[in-house]
Amino acid sequence: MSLQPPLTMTDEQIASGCKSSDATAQKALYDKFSRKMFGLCLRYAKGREEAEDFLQEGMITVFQRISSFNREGSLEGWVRRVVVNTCLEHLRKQKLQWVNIDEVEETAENGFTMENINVKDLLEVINALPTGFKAVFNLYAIEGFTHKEIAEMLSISEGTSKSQYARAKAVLIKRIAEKTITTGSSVNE
Amino acid sequence: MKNFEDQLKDAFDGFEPEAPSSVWNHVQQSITSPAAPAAATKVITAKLGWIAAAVITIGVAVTLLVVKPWASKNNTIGSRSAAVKSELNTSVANTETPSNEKLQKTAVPNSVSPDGYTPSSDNKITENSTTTEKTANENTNTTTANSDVAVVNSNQNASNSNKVVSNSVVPKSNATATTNNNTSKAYSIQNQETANLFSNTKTGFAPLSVTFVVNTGANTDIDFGDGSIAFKTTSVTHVFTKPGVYGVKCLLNNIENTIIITVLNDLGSAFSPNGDGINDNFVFGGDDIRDLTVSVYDRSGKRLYTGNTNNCMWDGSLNDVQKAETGTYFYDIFATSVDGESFKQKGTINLFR
Repeated sequence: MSLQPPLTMTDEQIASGCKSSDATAQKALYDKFSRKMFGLCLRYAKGREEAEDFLQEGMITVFQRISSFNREGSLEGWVRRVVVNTCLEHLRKQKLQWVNIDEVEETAENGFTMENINVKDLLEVINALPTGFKAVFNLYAIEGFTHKEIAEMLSISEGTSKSQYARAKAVLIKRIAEKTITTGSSVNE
Repeated sequence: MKNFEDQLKDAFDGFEPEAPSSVWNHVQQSITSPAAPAAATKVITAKLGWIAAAVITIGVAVTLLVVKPWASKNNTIGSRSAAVKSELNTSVANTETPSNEKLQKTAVPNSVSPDGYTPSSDNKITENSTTTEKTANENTNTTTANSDVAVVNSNQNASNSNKVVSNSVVPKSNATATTNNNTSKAYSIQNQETANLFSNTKTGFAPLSVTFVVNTGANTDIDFGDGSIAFKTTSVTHVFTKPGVYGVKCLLNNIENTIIITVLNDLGSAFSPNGDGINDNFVFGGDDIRDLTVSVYDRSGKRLYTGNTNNCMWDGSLNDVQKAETGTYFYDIFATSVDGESFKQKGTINLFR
């Protein structure tokens, strides 16, 4: 068997291969999802190094728990969920920080555009958020979980998740606007 | 115009940066050898690992001085060294046997200048951790193979020689009650030639109160490594307020051993579980904790909450229905840090509603 994973390996083949600890399938799974998951980890971690740790641990967990993957959902969705959980586990161990209501002014979403900001700057803005805030924000806005799911994942109330998200969003919009102004690109108000 | 969430999703769509190849190497190592999961977490704990490695290196250096005369005679690596290796929680499986010359080069400078404990920057630490760890590991391999006595010595040096003193003899909050008799008893058990400075604990959450005892009978100055010094004392309790790693040593009387105190994150002392999303839970634990159990009690000593490593957050509830009232509560933590140091710690929580 060639160690180079064939490009045509389907998710199903990868999953069943990983279940029987087949090295080719494991490498194929890693190659297929590691970049996406690294991008995800970067959004939860404080910095690149921590993101690498998250990814590493997340992928190990993926391989350890692959037997619990059933074919109901997509493999990517499942891998994503495992990696997100790994990130959250770490964030939970750190004390989740939240933002005080007083510090946040309501910002209008109208006319807001993200066209003038690149991913790197965006990531910087997100990474600067307090951890609890960042977690809720990532989970809701990008991962697409509901507030109810987030509440369970982070052991907070649904209301907390909602209010924190609203605040996170306001802060982010404000900071993105600041960023695009300071980096010289113009933003239409 | 697209809404905020969709714009964000678009922005991150296709954001797929290449992860460094080291990640896959670690993952592969971990999934091919069943014993390796511990190694995976090692990277995360590089900070503490470095400290552990430094301690180990010093331990080995001391050992080396003892073992050196017959060190070159026997080069087989016994199963004992493997045991030590796993105990030290080192991740690099190294079977090379370095020459004694190399050993001296790497080990001796560390023992001469034990000043380098306080890490200066995270990047540096990570780098150091791999090199030092490896060195320590190599050293252990050679030296332990030669003599069982050496194994015992280095092990004690490395993993904090005064455990006996710490847990059984010196009560944490009772510095003045400690007598020299007690410590010298423990000292003879340890059979340590250089250890004359002891502490009752090595690790804990900030603020951490540690009692140090010098067993030579003579007064000495103790440098706590955090900028403060106790003058002319044989026994002193010091509170480390900030998280960090401190090398504590005697400045007088030629007591050579340094005690590494690892102060973990501050758990805080208050929380307000009123559902406003701010400080609603009291979180026990932290990044550097491997294993933890915690109990929370009220004033009457009734246990209200127990938590463990995976679930170490108290939301202020007594059960599904009732909630704890505003007041002071007490916790007991039994924990093991990532560098394998077990400790217990008590504290109080102020609950506000």
